[in-house]
Amino acid sequence: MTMANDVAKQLESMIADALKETGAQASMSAKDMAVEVQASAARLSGAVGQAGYDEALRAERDTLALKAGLKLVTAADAADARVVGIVQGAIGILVAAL
Amino acid sequence: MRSRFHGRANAAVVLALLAACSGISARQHAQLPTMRLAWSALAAEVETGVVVDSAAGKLDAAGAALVRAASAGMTQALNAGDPAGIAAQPWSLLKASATAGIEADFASKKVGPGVVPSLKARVDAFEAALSKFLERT
Repeated sequence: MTMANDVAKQLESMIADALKETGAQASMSAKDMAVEVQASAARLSGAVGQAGYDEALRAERDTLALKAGLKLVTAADAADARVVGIVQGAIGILVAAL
Repeated sequence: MRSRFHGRANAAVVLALLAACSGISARQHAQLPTMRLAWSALAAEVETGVVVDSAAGKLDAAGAALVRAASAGMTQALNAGDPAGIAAQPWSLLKASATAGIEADFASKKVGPGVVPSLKARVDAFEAALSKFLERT
């Protein structure tokens, strides 16, 4: 297994666990979400150290939540917020690794 | 006896229809908080686009007023969860101004070149979510 495949599998498993644990509803499978997280990280890797990096990270979080059909970060949507938090953390980790 | 049966059957059908409608409504509105959050960032990009395009003479006063009214209308409709209000806003104008705003932020070095693809991806994702939302309406 290549390292990229390994990372994708780990991400998929992490997202699947988060969805299962929290009961959050996503319109996208954990596998597709993992693919999107990797695409987000690839885009963000070009923004590291540049002006507006934090806004780019927020934009990637919003993009993923919009694509996955998540309800996002409000107190009433704690389960979705947790999934989004995990996804945002994963994007950050991947960017650092790229 | 028969009419009582029909009455119960009709009531059951009405209840099933109501349940189905509430399910559709719940699905329609599930994504609104995400769309609201993304829109708050997009609205700022739209405003930047209006200011820059007006200064460059690409947008006259009437055009600028139209885009600003559409942006305010989108904010209001998203906050109210009003599908008709959301559908009534001219998305193509809003998207053009948001894109112009992102490019202006890049030109003024407010954001770096590597940030632009992420900001544009959010505009595209909002457009796709908007389209799905309106399809279900």
